[in-house]
Amino acid sequence: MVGTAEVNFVVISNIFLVQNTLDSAKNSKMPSLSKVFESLSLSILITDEKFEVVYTNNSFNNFFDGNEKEIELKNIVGNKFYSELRSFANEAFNLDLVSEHDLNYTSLEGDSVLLNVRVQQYEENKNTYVIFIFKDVSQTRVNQKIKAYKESLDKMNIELDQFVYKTAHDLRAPLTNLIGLIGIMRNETDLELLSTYFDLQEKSVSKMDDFIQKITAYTKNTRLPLLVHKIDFKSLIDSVLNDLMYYDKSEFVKKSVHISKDLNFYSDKERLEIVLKKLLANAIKFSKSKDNISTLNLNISGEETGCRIVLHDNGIGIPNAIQPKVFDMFYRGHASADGAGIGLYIVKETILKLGGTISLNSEEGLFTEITLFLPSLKEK
Amino acid sequence: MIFIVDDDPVHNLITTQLLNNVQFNEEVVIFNNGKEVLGSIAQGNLPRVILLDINMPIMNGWEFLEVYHNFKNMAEVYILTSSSNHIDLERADEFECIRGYYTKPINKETIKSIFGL
Repeated sequence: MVGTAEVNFVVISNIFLVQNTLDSAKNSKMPSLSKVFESLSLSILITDEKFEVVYTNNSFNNFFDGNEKEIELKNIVGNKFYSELRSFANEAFNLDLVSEHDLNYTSLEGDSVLLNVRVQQYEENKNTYVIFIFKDVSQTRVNQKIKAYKESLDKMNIELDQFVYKTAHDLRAPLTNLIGLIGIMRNETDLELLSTYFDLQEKSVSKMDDFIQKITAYTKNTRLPLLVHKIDFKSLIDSVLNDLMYYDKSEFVKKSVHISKDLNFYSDKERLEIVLKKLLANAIKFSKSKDNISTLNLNISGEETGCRIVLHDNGIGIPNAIQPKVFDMFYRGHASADGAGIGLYIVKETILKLGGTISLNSEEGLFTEITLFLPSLKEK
Repeated sequence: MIFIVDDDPVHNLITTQLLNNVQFNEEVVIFNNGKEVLGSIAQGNLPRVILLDINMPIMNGWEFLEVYHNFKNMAEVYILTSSSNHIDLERADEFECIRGYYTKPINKETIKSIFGL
């Protein structure tokens, strides 16, 4: 039976007590440490240079089910744990370091605990010893995990609140427009005006459809597992550019694509397509007026562990002040940002899911450059 | 002078058309966000009524009111929004200049009620 009750009630001052005792032993030749050690709830083990047991305290004996007759450490703590302690002891002897390690310990009965082991060498009467101090930190580590989970849940809840709020708003907006339009169309006799209103109705419906599609893309990204394939960038980019052909202003943007040869890159094709489509669509949407020669350069090159994608445009750029916010959920940074403010958020989340990074470099009025690094999701 | 502040051009068209339909004869000016309104006021334009959306890029309705509620000669502000969220509704109570809160869609009755026609 593992004596968890005893080792659980470790107070921090005990560590200082041991530390101080060690220090005073060094300095004032205090005769024996064992009296102090017996009263501790920490488990103590002291070995000599040959890793033979010199001393164990009560707490150690209770915890490891040792008894006074058994002096073979290997038999008390088990082979695996023994060799781990041994390597720490060597380290302490050779480097004269104080080290701390978290180790899983499974007792003969199968009870598993997480032990924090502090290892330090000390000298007494010209002999060198290693002292091990064990503390059961299972509960502490569990608590830390719970705390981390709680924090991530809190964050998700805030996001969810925001999501529901914005979704309700953005789904209602085009609907209320439809209702409003129907209201003013009812008594309208001017055919030209009526035709305008029909166009606007169509736009409202498309907008709503677009929003629902984006939400679908977003949930797909969060819920579905990655589907890894070898990526053929040429056909992927062709398909994306083909989709963007009929976007406003697309014909005025000169696009050039450079893809390194022999890329051996694996990733989730559908997610990658969502990312590239959104980024390229933005570059087109925020290009300057027709009088300028708008360019968009896409460069895809291999890296040791993946690939680098750089997208450079000479569009309207992003002001410094809002650059940190453009990837936030529902943030709309420009007056002509007529969408839901969710596109770049989806891009960021998708990149995270793919294990990559995204960075932004832009100067207002001059250019925007987006750099993606994506790891290859299969060994080369 | 009436200010309509909304980034949605369809909403702005509907509102203008509804005002035309009731033979409203005050000047109507349209803005896409709060920042544009502050710019116009800085140039000396003093609206009598502001019809204000909440959710807009650049400067939303609440951000605008945070600045505007310290001004002298404030207009009557009416919120016209598609948000029926209670947080927004409660927030509207914080500003004295807000005379009404309407959830879109708006129609002839909304306009009549705002302008007391």
